[in-house]
Amino acid sequence: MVLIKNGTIVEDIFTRLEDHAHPPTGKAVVVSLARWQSEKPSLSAHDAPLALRLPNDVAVGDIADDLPSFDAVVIEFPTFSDGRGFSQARQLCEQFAYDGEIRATGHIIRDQYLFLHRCGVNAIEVADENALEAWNTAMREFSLFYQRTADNRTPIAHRRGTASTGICQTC
Amino acid sequence: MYRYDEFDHAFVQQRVAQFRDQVSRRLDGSLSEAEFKPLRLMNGVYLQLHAYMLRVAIPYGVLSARQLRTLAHIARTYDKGFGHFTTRQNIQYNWPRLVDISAILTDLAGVGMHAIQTSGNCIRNVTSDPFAGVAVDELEDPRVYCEIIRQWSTLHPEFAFLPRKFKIAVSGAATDRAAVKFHDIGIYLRRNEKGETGFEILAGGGQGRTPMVAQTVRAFLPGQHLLSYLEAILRVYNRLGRRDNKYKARIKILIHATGMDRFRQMVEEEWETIRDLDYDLPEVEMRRILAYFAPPAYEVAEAANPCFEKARLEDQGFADWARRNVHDHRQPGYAIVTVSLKPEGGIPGDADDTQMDLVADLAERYSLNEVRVTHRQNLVLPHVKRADLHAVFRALIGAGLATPNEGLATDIIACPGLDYCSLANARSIPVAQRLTDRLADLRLQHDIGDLHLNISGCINACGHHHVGAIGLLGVDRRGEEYYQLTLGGSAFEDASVGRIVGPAFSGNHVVDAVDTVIRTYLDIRQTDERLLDTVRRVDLAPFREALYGTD
Repeated sequence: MVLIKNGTIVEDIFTRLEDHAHPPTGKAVVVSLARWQSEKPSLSAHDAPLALRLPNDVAVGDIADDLPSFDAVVIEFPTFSDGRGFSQARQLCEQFAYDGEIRATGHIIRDQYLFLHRCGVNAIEVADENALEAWNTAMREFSLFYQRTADNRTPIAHRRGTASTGICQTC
Repeated sequence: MYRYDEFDHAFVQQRVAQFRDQVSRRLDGSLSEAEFKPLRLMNGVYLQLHAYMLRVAIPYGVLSARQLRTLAHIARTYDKGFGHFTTRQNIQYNWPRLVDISAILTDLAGVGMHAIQTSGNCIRNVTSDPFAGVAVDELEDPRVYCEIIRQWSTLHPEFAFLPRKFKIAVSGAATDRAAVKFHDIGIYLRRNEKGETGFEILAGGGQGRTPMVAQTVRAFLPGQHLLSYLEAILRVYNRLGRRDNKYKARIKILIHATGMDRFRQMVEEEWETIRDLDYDLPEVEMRRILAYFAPPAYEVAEAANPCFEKARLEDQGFADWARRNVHDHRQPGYAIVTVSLKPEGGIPGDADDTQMDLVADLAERYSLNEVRVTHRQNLVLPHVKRADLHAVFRALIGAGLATPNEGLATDIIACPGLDYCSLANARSIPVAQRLTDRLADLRLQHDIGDLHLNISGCINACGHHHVGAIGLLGVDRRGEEYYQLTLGGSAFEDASVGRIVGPAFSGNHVVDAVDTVIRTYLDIRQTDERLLDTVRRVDLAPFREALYGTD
């Protein structure tokens, strides 16, 4: 498993903390939602970056108050066809202005990469480290978008305001 | 009508390039069929009983003459010379080869068309009133909002992996010709007491194995908030819709489980958090799209046309056709023409390449370049001068396109059924053909009057059997095709779901059974009562007795 961020493979500083393990001093850890909820005070005092694993059936609003405690939120995709994580990602960054890492993990396919990024996901875990180029290619397949989302891509409707809006001569 | 600008055009080109790459990865084996399936489905490519099937989007059923000619070219070049117009105002081709699909998409892109989101668990092609912009009973043209929804829903990043498919319909008229109440989201244009345009938003309608009529979520939504409100509904559904059972995954099941009050509360709460996040279109873009739907340059003509009246007296065939297939137009001197794709013994909704070319020619010559597709699987020429009606009729009759049966018993909706579809339990097409043979007598059809007879080959209800005044549902009984008969369905604003009359009929008996229902109706109806009204008045008992006897 490798972590892709900003088009390159980067070192994953987080290790997954098993629910009964003690958080290792000075090490970045990912905790489960259950662990977080039962040990908020001690985990908040952890002396290294902290990340939350977010199951995709949890309402983002339920953890909104805790978001400042996390350096990353890891959204789980049990299967690529289960799209709940897309809504969670958008809610995190658009509704709750979360500006830490939003990571997708689990079963995702490269043809979803651009959609994930548009929804605010800025880090993905992928199985095949040799597939980096394919994932990056998938990200570049479109340069035009009809919706306003959390990313900085200008929707077509707003580009029309500044560019010529002449009817295409080829169709 | 809307025309692509350079942005729309470049976007579709990018989608074609992406799909070409996906097809080549499938053909060279780097994608398995299992991995390819969700990708092809997002672009309208199904694997059916005999071949791949390609469904092409016709946004809200509106086509230019040039686009229709391209659809004819595709039928001729890549298929067996015909296409099938569907109940979602799309067209599907039953015999394309996978290697040709990229070329087909390139040809489509050349005329501003595509197959994006014609399948898959995403927001499907938005549908509307085929008389939009020309109907006399219309508040405002719904196509403007359809186009706004089309653009917004195209490759929407959040809603590409919903629990299940998602259908939206918009109507702006008093008569609902778009089956709005049988959509996941149904939208009626409304005016508030200040005279401002907005929307009544309904949700939770649908057919399939659990037919339901949509309920109102919000009685009046101000016009500028359309997209943010749709986002709120979709987000609630994406988060909470069931994913454990595909037969319980549509939004109607969620709404049924929560109740409309709770669902409405969740949508309104969600909307409160996003309504100011700039999801809605800028005013200038709304106006830009609106301008495309300004009324075309009509000629000034007298409302009553002497040539039309004279032809009607001299040509009985024309008079019959004008009686059913010609409708009033909001512009004096013009008419709306329905081109029937339901000839006696034909396949409902099918048109061959020469027929499509002919309708395109007629659109160019007589209908300001425009054609519509109806959800009842016919075509419409929306702007024909009354003085030209006879010429249009004569051209259509030569191509088998002038069957004078709109809204009559032989104007049957039928899905492709077991002749093509891998989901079907029984054939639909041969039953439709036999029924049109049996009911061919036009005097009988006029006597019966308005009747929607709809046939589905399986419980997925693509043939809209639930909303036929008479519905037939194909079922498999120990390997034999049987047909369940339902009565009392309506897809109009008085929407209702048909009810099963009794035990199913075998293929050999189903045509007689429909005949019995019709004769019973003719016996017991009151003056000016449609078959649907009679069923509503007397309920099922008299029909049951006629079909199954007194015990």
